[in-house]
Amino acid sequence: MEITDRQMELFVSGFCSFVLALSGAGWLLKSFERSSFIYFSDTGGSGIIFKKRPTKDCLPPGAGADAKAHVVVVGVSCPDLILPNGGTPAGTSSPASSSSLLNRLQLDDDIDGETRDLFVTVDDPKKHVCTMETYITYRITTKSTRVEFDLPEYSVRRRYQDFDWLRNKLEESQPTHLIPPLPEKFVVKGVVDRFSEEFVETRRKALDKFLKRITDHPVLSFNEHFNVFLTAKDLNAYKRQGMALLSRVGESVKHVTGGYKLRSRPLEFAAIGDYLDTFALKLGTIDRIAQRIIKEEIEYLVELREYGPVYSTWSALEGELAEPLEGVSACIGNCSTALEELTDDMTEDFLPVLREYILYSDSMKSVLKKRDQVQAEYEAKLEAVALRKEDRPKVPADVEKCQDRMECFNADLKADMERWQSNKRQDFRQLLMGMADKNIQYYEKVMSVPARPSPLSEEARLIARESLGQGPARNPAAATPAGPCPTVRDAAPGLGAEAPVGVPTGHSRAHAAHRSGSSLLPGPLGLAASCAPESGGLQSRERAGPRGPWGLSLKASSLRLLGLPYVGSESSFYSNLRVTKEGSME
Amino acid sequence: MEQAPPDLERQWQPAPLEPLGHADAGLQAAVGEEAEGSRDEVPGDGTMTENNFGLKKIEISVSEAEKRTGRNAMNMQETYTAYLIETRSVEHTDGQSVLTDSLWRRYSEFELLRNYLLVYYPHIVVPPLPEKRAEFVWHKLSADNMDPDFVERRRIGLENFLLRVASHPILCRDKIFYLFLTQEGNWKETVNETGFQLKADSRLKALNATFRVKNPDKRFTELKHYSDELQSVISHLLRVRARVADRLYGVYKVHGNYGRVFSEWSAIEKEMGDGLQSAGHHMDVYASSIDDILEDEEHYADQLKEYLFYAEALRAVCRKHELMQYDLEMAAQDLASKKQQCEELATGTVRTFSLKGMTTKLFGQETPEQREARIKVLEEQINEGEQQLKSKNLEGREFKFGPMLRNALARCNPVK
Repeated sequence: MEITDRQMELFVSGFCSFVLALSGAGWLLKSFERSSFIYFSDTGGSGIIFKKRPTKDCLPPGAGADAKAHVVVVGVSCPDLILPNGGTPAGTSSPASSSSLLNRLQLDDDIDGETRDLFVTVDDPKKHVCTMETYITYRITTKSTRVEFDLPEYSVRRRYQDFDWLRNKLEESQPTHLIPPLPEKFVVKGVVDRFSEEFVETRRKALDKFLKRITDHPVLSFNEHFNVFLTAKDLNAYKRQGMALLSRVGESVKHVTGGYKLRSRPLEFAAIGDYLDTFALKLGTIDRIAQRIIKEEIEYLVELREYGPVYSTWSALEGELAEPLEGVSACIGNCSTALEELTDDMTEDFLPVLREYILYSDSMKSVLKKRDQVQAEYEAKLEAVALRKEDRPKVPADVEKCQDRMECFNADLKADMERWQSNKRQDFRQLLMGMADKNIQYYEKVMSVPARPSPLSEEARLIARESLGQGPARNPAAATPAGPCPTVRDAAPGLGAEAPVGVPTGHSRAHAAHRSGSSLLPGPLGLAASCAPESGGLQSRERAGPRGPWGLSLKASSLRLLGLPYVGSESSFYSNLRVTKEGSME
Repeated sequence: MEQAPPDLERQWQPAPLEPLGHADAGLQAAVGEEAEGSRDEVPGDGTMTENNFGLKKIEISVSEAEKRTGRNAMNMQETYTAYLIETRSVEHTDGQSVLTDSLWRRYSEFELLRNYLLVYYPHIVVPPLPEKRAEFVWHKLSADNMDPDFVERRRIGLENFLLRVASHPILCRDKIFYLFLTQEGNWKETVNETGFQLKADSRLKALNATFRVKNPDKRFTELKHYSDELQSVISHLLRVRARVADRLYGVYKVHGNYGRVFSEWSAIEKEMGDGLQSAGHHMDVYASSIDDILEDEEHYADQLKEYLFYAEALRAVCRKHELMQYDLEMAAQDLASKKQQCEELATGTVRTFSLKGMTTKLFGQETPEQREARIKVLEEQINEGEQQLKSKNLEGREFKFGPMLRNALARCNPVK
């Protein structure tokens, strides 16, 4: 069909306007963002949600103590407003749920990195030596597109004291929210070296986490003190100024909490309280166990370090055996190094997170108590009014205020709890999977015996294959160790064939034969088959006769594999751990 | 010193000087097999090595262990473990094995057998027995001789002992050994009748005495050094291994504590609950896996111990050789001095200062008859001495060239 000029014209103009419209919309969108609006459209409703700096007058009535809330919900009439990240708002337009709604939005925003507009990093620790004291400062780098920040980038230096100050200020000004914990303040001077690399690095990581948690919080990240902390050149001046002024009454919900006793905690908060108690307890136990494990592992390491060289000494005496023995010694050395790395990782990565969450739980419990106070005050006042038996239909203003305070506190707390729970799940998932991975790596390192081209290793491999039922199956029953540990087989299919397994002589084989349902292969290296409860057993009694007094049985035996510690069930366990974690921890 | 006694009991034992070629060839064959790998040697259903008992093939196994009570020499109740030894002869044609003998023996009888072999075959490195008492134990491992795991390991060790003896070309022909496998009653008496006990005692004394050999055989000295060093290295190794096992045990068991905590924690969690529960379960599995692992490692330790004892046996052989050498030197010296005496008497010259010379000068020379008599005695003694020397030399040569030792010496030349 021929396209006439007219049609072409129309098409071109239409196209151009379309493009213009698009870019215009795009520009509009950009400007919205820059002025911190977020526009969501839905299937036909008219929900627009604004995100901007709060001012008192623009808040709807009843927003109450949530004065710092930066989000205003306007005209959300359709309950099925679809948010870009697939979340659906739980409540409708009740003010009490506004912050929870928006907290959830913020949560989604975090996952979607594009809408994040504040990035904070802690790094570069430096030691400062002054006349009075020596201390460490950390560099804080901030990048932000938020209006609250005059410049897009900041870089300041802060010391631990400053962090402490910040936290206190946040607690004061945002008492209804859960403030993340700081790493421990006091260090026993004699025991721990405050300036050692490990200590400083651990602390730096914890401080970084602290700031990142605040950054991610929809309310806390807009806190004035936080802003100053990130940007001011001279923080001390600001601190002095802050102390001089009386904190504005309206700014905080701090009350002289005198003598209000709460009769009973509402169920949900009681549940939270109980949970936190148990949670902190369990974490404490895990921390202690982990420390104990590390200690035991270090002692094991000490012995291993002595064990390896003995093989070297022996190899110096021998002729043909020299090489394999030296190999064993090297293997053991290998294992020692791998183990050391493992314990270091445990100490650096695992323990601090546990401690952080314990501290977190403690601070959360105190926030719960504050909430209780607020509720107690409200209930007391309410009772007082009721007792007065005045026939007033209207509840006095201050009681109403109390109620608002309480409700906002509850709302904030609930929202924060949920976000805390979600973060906790993520953090622990990462932590435990990390631990499992580290352990798996350890065992993999340990199993990586360099391939030896000698005929002995071939023999060893042959036997290994057989035992694992992969080779010419002498015992069909032993062919496939089915069992609850398919993961290792899947994860490490090559391991069974490659790594030489202890080659049995009269000892091991006969032993394996007798142990029905044995879960371990001959030799100290049970591999994949070891995790199967029924390895099929080597049913007939297999015995290899001795091969002469100075036998090659020595060579062919598990001897040279002895340096390798005990794999098999552990790597299967850790694989399972990983699988489980992946499966059930989302 | 003794000569090879023509005991009737030892008639099964061929002359010690059996053609070296044969014994060597036997060993060569065995060595050849070993080099090829174990695949060929061990047939499908797991049989043992053969044993040429006058062209019969025999399989030996120590199949069971049983706790027994009985009365000992002092008529007191005691508990001991007996082991069932089964021998099967293998028919050539169809490879079927028929149970020919089975009897029960206890550890002390094994010891008796070994001591007998040690006395009668001083030039052979006799395979060692598993240890009498559990040594090099790490703390959780039981040191109790009645512990089932210990008994099991001992059973394996005893079987290895029998198999090694049976596969030795010389030892396997010994009648006492054969009777050990076949004659249940009266075996002890039979052994004692050989009178080896006395020889054992005298040998023991001699071995422990200190003496110096003038011209030590270099190879034996090296062998002795090697065995000493091997002993010390292996015992060091075993000690450290025991400590390593101990520590590893600790690590695993502490992980078990995780099990309980994780499962308690899982009770308060919603989404994480299942994962934590499973993790806890796996921690428990992990913690309990160490028992099997270390039990298996004991087998490795047993093999090391076997070679530790082998090193001891080797050392004993070296010592015996030294003893023999010493006797030889003494005999030679004795002969030389007697010859000299004889010569002096015959020629009447006194070359060296001697009491006889002195007394002769002082109290007058002896009569020719007396001299004749003396010369005759001396000549007899010289003859005897020469005989002895010959036999000692023979013994020594056989010792040196005993097939086992030859190989051992060859292997013991470390490529430095």
